[in-house]
Amino acid sequence: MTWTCEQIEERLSDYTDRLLAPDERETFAAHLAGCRRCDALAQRVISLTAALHALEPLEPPATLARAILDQTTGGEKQEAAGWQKVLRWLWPTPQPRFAMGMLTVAMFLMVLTPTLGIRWSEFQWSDLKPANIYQSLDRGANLMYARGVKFVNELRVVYEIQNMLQPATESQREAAPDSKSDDKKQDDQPGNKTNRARESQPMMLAMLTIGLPGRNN
Amino acid sequence: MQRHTRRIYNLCYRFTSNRHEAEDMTQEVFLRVYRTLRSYQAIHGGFTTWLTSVTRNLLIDHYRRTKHDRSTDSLDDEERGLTEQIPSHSRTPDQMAMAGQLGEQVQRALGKLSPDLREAVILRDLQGLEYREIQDVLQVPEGTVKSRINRGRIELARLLEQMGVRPE
Repeated sequence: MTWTCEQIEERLSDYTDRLLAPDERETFAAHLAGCRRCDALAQRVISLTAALHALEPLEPPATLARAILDQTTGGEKQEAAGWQKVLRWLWPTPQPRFAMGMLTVAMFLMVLTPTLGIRWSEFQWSDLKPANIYQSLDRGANLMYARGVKFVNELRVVYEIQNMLQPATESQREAAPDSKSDDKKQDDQPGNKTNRARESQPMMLAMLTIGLPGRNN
Repeated sequence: MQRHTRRIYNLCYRFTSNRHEAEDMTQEVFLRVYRTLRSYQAIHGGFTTWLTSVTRNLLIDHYRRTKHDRSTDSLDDEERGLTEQIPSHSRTPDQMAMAGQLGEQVQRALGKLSPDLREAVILRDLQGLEYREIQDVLQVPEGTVKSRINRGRIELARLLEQMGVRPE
C-alpha cells in the first residue's frame, strides 16, 4: 500500500504526534524516503513542533494577579443588590463620629430654626408642601429684612440724638467750674446752646416713642 | 492562581500578539469565571478545560469585535521592539537571545494564521492540551481538530520558512 503526497500531508500531524498505527507508520516512512518534497515538509513540521513545545511560557506582569484579585474579590461589593446596597450605604451611621456629627447638626438647627421663625410646636405636615415652604421662607426673609431695616433706623436715631445731646453736655462741663454764678443769666438768654438742647430733649423722646416721620416700622 | 494566570495570559498573548490586550483579556477571563463559577460542572471536563473554553470564547468575541481595527498580518509597532521574556534558569545569554528571537518570529507567524488554525496550534503545541480536551474547548468533532492542527502546523512551518526562520 502506498500513500499519495496529499495523504501524507493530511496525516503529517498523526505521524508527528505518533498517532499512526505501526503499519501506517511504515508506509508513511517509506513515502518520505522516496519523496524529497514530503520529507522536507515533514522535517520542517517536526522541527517546528519541537520548537513550539520547547518555547517556555511568558511571565505575566507582577501586577496582573493583584489586579485580578482586586477585580474579583473586590468586585463582590460592587455586585451587591437590593437591601445590601441600602445596608452598605447606611453602614457608617452606627459609628460614634457620625453620631457626634448628627448631634452637632441637630443642635445647630435647634438654635437656627427659631431665628428663622420656625416653631416646631406649631408644625403641621402641610407645612412641608413646596408652596408652603416657599411661602414660609419668603415670609421669613421679609421679616428678617424688615427687622434689619428697623434696627438700622433705630441706631441712626440714637446716633442723631447722641449728636444733638453731646454739644450741650460738653459746653456744660466747660462752663461748670467758672460760671456757676452766671447760670441764671445764661439760662435767661434765649438762643443759648444748652437751652436749645434742653428744649429739644422732650421732642426727641417723643420721636423715639412714636417713631420718626418716614421711618419704616 | 498564579499557574492559571500564567496559562491564560500566555494563551491570550499568543492569540492577540499584544501584551496589553493579553492583560486585559486575562482579567476579563477571571472576572467572567468568577461570575459564572456556579455554572461550572465537573462532568463537562476538567477545570482547566473549562477555563480554556471561557478564554477561547472571549478571545473569539474580542477578535470579531476588533476585526475592523487591525490587520492580521502585522504586529503593533510597540510589539516589534519587544523580545520574549523567557525565564532562563539554565540558559546562556546566546541561547536566551536565540530563543527570544525565535519566540518573536513564531509569534509573528502565528499572527498571520487564520483564527481557527491559530487557536488549534496554540492549544495543542503551546498549551499542551490533548486532542480530546481541544475538542471540548472548540466544540468541534475530533476529525476537525486534527485537521486544523495539521493545517496550522504546515502553514506555520511555511510562513517561518518564508521569513527565513529554521527552527532547530
